[in-house]
Amino acid sequence: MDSTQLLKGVLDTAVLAVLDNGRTYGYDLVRQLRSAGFEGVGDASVYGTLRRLFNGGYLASEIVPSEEGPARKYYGINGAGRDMLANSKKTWTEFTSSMDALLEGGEEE
Amino acid sequence: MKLTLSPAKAKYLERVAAGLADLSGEDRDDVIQDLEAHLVELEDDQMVRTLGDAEEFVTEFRASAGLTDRDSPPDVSRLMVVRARLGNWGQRLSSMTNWGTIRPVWVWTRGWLLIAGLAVLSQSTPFQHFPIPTIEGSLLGLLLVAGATYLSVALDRGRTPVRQFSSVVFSAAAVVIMLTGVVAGPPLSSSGHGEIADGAMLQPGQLIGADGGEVTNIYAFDREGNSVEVLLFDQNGNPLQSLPAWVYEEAERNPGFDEPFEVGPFAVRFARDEFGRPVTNLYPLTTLQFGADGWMPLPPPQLGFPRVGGGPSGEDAITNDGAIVTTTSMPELEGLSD
Repeated sequence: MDSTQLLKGVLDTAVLAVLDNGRTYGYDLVRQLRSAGFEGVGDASVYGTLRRLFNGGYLASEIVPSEEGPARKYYGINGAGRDMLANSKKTWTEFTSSMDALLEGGEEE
Repeated sequence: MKLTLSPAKAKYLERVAAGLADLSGEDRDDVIQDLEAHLVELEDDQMVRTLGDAEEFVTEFRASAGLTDRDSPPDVSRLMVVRARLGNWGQRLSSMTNWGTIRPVWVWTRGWLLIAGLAVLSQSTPFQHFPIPTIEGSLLGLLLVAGATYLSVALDRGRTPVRQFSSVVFSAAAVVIMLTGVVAGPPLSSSGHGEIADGAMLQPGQLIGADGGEVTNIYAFDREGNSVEVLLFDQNGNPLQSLPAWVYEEAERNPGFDEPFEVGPFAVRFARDEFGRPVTNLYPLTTLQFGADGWMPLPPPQLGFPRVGGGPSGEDAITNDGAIVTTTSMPELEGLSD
């Protein structure tokens, strides 16, 4: 199974989960996702997901000037984003439980 | 030292921007800003390896952002073009004014500006308890400011298109209403005085009647109902003035000016003393109206004055409405003539 395809399906949840730990900017968000084990995630996909979540009203943003380079836009999760994350967690838990049960049942057979 | 983009990275950024040219200004500018900050963190040789070439980046970005494929005709309506241009101007203005720092202050104060502007437009005393706008009382003004501030902050926090638009409308309304109040509203006075019924402002020294109208002339009658000419002074001994200040300034500057002073719908000619100087507090003033035959005296008003009973001058008398009228002796004056 190609994990990249799996990740694309849950990238929204992964991004929200990272931001739920604290606001950050795009480059660091990609770094955190890769550190969490999602090596195959594309940078452009992360930025596209950020844009889609932001336009959907799930994220807040703040531009922070930097003395070392261009200003960085920090993204943070807002109330709507937390609601979405909670629903996604519930869905993921149910999905993985079902999948685990299915796979274990298949193994027994 | 501030890191800047190398030529290769700058070109990469340009190509990505071109690939996203059909997006709204804000969407495109946000992505470019994010990407610029990302590129600064990379070496040149990492750029294509981690991001893909510019076209690949654009394609992958569009797919994950749920945007239309560039090859399909973009839905570039006139509104979108205008919105993109406004977004570009907004981005430039934001950079010039350090909007990121100012913005939180604006979000928290625009609610106050909106209510203050409404108070200035609707109330004669909009700031009895500054900085709380007075709208039918300071308590209502305070509640309205609290509500407007809450709404302002709530609109700013959401980023859906509806909320973005609502936030912009809120800002525009606050600015327009406040500017209109400043231009068209009454002066921001807490005294509540200084306004007359037709909305014009009184000058210092002008008189206001019980009906809120301007008093421009005073008619005096004796007990028998005979019209009398009187010299009037206030409690400080200053001549009582019922006309705009410029009339008296002009009369003082040009004492020999014998033409009537035109004051709105009528003109006034002052009496002169023995030296020819204008006597500005001899009432009633001689008021004139310009007609076919030139300046003609205005007739006095039709009066229904109370019959005054009581004894000769110096004794108290009671009018029909119960008021007590006390007469005093007139100061001696010399040389008054018309």
